[in-house]
Amino acid sequence: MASQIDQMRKGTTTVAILKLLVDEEEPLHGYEIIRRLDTRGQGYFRFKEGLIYPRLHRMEQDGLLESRWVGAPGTRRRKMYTITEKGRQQLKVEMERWRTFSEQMDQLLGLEAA
Amino acid sequence: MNAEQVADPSSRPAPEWGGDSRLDRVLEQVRTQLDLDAETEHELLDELRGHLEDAVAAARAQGLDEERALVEVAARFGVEEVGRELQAAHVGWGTADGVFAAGLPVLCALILRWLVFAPDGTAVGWREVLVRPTFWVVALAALLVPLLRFPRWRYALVSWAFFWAMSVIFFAWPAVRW
Repeated sequence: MASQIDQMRKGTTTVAILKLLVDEEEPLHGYEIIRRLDTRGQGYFRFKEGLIYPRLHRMEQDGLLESRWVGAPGTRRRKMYTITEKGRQQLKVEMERWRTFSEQMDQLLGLEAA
Repeated sequence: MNAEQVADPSSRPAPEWGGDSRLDRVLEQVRTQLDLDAETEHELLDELRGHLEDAVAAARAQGLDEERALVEVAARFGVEEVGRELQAAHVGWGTADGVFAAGLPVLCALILRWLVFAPDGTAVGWREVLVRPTFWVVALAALLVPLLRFPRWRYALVSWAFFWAMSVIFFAWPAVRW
């Protein structure tokens, strides 16, 4: 069961991050993204925390996110992520895809009335 | 990535807690999985260090001692997997961009050389070159292509500086042949 959830989580992390950054309307660093995703998911989708960083970097390379280092010299620096316009468009597509998938699965499993 | 440093009033100095050397060992475990250019590795580890420091501070705030907090944070972090995934995310991209970054200023300099010297081998005057649209197109390309293509804007500045250095050399010493 854990591996099934893990597979589902892997397929939905990108859309979850994009949605979070749109909703929060402020740049966030990796640790804060994990913390807020964990709060939203109520711990259900908990995963290896460090794996958020390769995902964030791939999303940045794909142009879905932008980042900037924040912090004066001599203080702790943080890499803050914001969503790009391309990321917002991607989120719309992914949300629609997820909605269709969810509806079809509900119908398939006879859960639509639940 | 627009890697720029700006003042952030909320930023705190890096903690001086005694667990730093143990935290360094965790980061070293990640680093052993990486084989990237030094700057990329440094940025990656800097980002991960911030995460680990935050996570340890949160664990300690919940009552764990320093040692236990770090063990728990490292277990949640997934050290080896993170190293492997980061390497996979960056390796191909870095190599291709590195080759492109090195080649672009050279290409611009070659075009410049073609612009500066007339077919008979004599150098044209700098005033004449400066009114040629091609010259400005190449100069802008040397700035804009790296700026838009590469995640680090400093590639654009390096390319730009190389292009203008070559321009000055060509005009100051027109006898230079290459």
